[in-house]
Formats: sequence, C-alpha cells, structure tokens
Amino acid sequence: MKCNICEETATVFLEQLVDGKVKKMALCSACAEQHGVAHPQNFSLDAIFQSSMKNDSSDQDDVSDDGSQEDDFSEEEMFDDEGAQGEGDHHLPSVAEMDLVCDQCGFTITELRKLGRLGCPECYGSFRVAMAPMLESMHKGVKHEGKAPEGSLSRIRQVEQLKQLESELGKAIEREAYEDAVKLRDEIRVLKTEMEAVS
Amino acid sequence: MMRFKTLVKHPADWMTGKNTDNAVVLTSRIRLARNIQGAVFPGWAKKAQRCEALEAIRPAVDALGVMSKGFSRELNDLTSLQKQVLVERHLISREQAARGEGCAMVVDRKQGLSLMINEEDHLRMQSIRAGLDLSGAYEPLQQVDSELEKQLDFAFDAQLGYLTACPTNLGTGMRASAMLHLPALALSGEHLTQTLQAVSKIGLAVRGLFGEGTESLGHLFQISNQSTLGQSEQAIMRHLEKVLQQVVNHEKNARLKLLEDKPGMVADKIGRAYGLLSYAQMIDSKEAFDLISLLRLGADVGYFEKPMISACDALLMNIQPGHLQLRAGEELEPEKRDEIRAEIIREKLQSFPAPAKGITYKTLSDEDGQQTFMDS
Repeated sequence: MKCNICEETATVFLEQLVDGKVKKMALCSACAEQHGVAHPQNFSLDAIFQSSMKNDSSDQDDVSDDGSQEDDFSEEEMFDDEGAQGEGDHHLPSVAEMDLVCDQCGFTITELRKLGRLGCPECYGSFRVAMAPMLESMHKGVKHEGKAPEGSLSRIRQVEQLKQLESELGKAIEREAYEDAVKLRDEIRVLKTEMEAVS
Repeated sequence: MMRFKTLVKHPADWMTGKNTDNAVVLTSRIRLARNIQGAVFPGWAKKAQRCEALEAIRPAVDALGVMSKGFSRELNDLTSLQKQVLVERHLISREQAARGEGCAMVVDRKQGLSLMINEEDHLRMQSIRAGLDLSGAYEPLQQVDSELEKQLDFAFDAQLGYLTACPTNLGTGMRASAMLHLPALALSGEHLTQTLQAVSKIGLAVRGLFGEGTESLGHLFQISNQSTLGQSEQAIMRHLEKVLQQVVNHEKNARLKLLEDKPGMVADKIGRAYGLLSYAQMIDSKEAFDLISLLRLGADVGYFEKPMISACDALLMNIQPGHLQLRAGEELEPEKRDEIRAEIIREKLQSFPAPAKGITYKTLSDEDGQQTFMDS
C-alpha cells in the first residue's frame, strides 16, 4: 500500500491510541523519518494526520482503494477526529500529554502497550476507557462471572456506601439542613473507622 | 519442614499417573492468579515493594492447613539446579525459576498444590490431578483461595473480576489446562494439525510441554482456556472438558484406525523404539521423548503390559536435564547427559519384555491367520 502522505510505498505501519481511539497510519520511510517516527517519544499521529491533510486530499483516496489492508486503514478511521480539532487550533497534544498515567503507581499506557502488562490493580481504573476495546477482543465477555472474594466485595460495598453518604452530606449542606449533615458526618466517620480497621 | 531431597524422592501421583486412566490425558491443571489490593504488581514493583508484598502474603500461605509439612522456600534459597528440577516437575514456572529475592514458592507435601508468590502476579496457585479431572483439581484450589481471602485483601473489581498484571487473566484469573498425549493423531498425518487448529479456532490455546512458547516434545500438548473474563469458572471448565473429551475420542479412534489400517507400520515403529531405547548408549532429549512416546502408545494398544505407561511417565520426568544432573550430583556437559539418559532408560526397560512378534501378529491379524502362520 501507499504512504498516507506521499505516493511512495509504505513501509512503516503505526498504531496509536488518541483519545481512546486507535488510529492507524501507513508511511514510507522518508515521511516516517521526517515526522520523527524513529523517536516514538516525540511524535504524535495526530500531528501527522494534520500535516497530511494539508496535502491534496485526493492522495488520501488511494489509501482506501488499495486492496489488502483496506479495513485496517480506512479513511474514516484515520480522520475520525477531523471535526473534533477546532478550526485554527494548531496546538496538538504531544504524546507526553496524551499518555495516560496511573496516579497510584506511575505506570503509563505507553508501557502497557510495550509490555502487555499493568503496573498495579489501580491501573485498570486509570486506563479503563482506553483499555475497553482491547479487553473486548481478548475475552468472551466484558463482565465478570463467577467467584468473588467476600472481603473485597464488602470493601467495594463500603466504598460505594461512603460515596453515597458523602454526596448526601454535600446536598444536606447545600440546602442548609445542618441536623441531617451532622448525622451524615457521624455515619461517615463510623464507616471510615470500620474501613480502616479492616485494612 | 519438607526437605528438597524428600520432595524429589517422592514424586506426586499425578506425575506418574498412578491409579488413573491417563493414556491420553496425562494431567489436568487449574491455575488461579490473585493480587493484593493497593500493591504494585511484582513486575513493576521495586525490590523493597516486592519484599513487602512477600512479607504480607507468605505468613497467610504458610499458615494454610494443607501446607503444613509442605515445601516452602524463597527462590533465593534454591540453587539453579534445584529450580530446574522444580520446573521439570511443573511445580514452578520457568518465569519463577528466573526470579530471586522477594519471590517464593510453597508446595504441599503431596505436591498436588503449589503456590508461587511474586511471579507475574502476587499469587499464582495451581492444582494438578492425574487424568481428565478439571473439577477435581479445582475444588481443593478453590478452598485454598477462600481460605486465603480471609487473610488477604485480593484486588477485585465488580466489572473486571480479579485484577491481574496481564489483562489476559482478568475475571476469574483462572487457566484450566490438560496435558495430552496424541501420538496416533501425529502418526496419521494431517489429523493432528487439523484437530489442533480446530481447537484454537474455538478460543482455546494449544501449547507445548512447558506452556507458552515451548515446542512440543513426545507428542505432548497442553490445551487450555484463553478467555478468563465473562464466563464463570464452572462454565470455562465445562467448555474445556467437552473439547478435551472430543480430542481424546479423536486420538482413541486414530489409535484403533492405525491398528486396523497399518498394523505392520505400528508394530515396526513400536518395536524399533523399544530396540533403540533398550540398546542406545547416548540419546538426546528430543529423540528420547519421541521414542518413549511410541512405547507409551504401544502400552496402551497392547504391545506392553499396562505398567509401561507409568514407567514412561517416570522416564519423561527423570531424563530431563535437571533431573539427570541432580542424580549425577554435578553439572554435566550435554554429551555426558546423553550417556546418563541412555543408561536410565536402559535400566528402566529391563523389566519390560520386548513386544513379542507372535503376540503382536496374533492380536493384529485375526482375519489373516495364514500370514501369521507363515511368518512365525
């Protein structure tokens, strides 16, 4: 297939996660070099999409006409973010800015793609949206069935209960129902001590 | 505490297939992956974090009733040869054998249950049974899991299930697998490839003797579930068991068909395997595995007495490099290993008479009695 930017034969095939969507691109080695693909930390597929769009758009038609990998490299997919980029907005997110980081352990989604593994259990929360398509293709379902640990379940219930109480407390304060608020505050205090005692 | 010597001297029943029909399915294995809430996964953890996790997990594991009088060691306290022997016995993974500080393994005295601390996940627990018996392997493991979760706070998410270092293990964290011996399918040409391809098409994984990325030796294959999220443990086991049963039937039919269509070829292969193994002075692992595989097949179809199957299984374990060197008490060059391997095999086969020509022809050529008469 042809390079997405010029007419040369593409030799570099890229995939990058941009705002939770997988973007794909095919480039010839010259264009790849020019866009700094050799230094993965410093390039952004989005930036290349932008610059390639400045070229004659008829070039792009060749991409989807080109047989074999048509599905993987369809035009719609590559430019589905076109509308989202504000007109005249030339600030493009760098890879560093786009890279998701787990605030619990410092693991990044780039490392996940490199290693195929995560840093800590919290990473699943941090990368949930970005990982969803990956999990879907990996497993027969997306919702856990089967055994669940009693201890963790009660912890999950407690966390949910705490969230619930805290939001009620916020509402109570808002409507100046201070008696309710005091009650809620005490309940929260009890629940928190319980949770700490367990862990 | 159990000594390494004791562990090596008394292989588990599942390793030698005692008292079980294991002609096609040698073993059934269940593995569960668990992690500690709030702790960094072992692969991403700094040494201090890893040691901290070990300190939190190990007391709970050692306190398990089933693990009393078991074998419990930090990987640091094992020699590389000991680790290799444990890998060859499928008690620890290759990955775990490569680890050291902050990593540990615990095996129960009967060696049916083994736990690895700080492998890819904080806890990898496995249970093995002889023959096709997935639920028999799952039940004791499930109890250990329930026991541990009273002490340890396992990372769990209502949507994603047990949270694991690799997303491929999410959900149940369970890998159920069986080790199969498929010599007849292999001898009947395309059948093996077709069967294994069909198996992988329905979402199961096919691997060699030591799991991921290992080649198949001696016509031994592992088949396991690929998906761990979205199905309960029971559903995964049911599905796998159904497929395994079909593969077993394929293999059994292939054995019958081979004997019917090409009795001469089968007799020749098994006879040659016996001859080579009985007289070889040097033999490498691959050749030994392939020939022992034929003896194992021979025992199942009547060329040898049944105890030959468990003798073969013992050999398959004892002729591996770690076991050879442990027996010799020193590190050995490959050439020397080949000599000792041949010696061990010759010794073992002495108690099994050669497949007698008369016997094989009598059993195999009922319709062709005249030829039998002329040949003998």
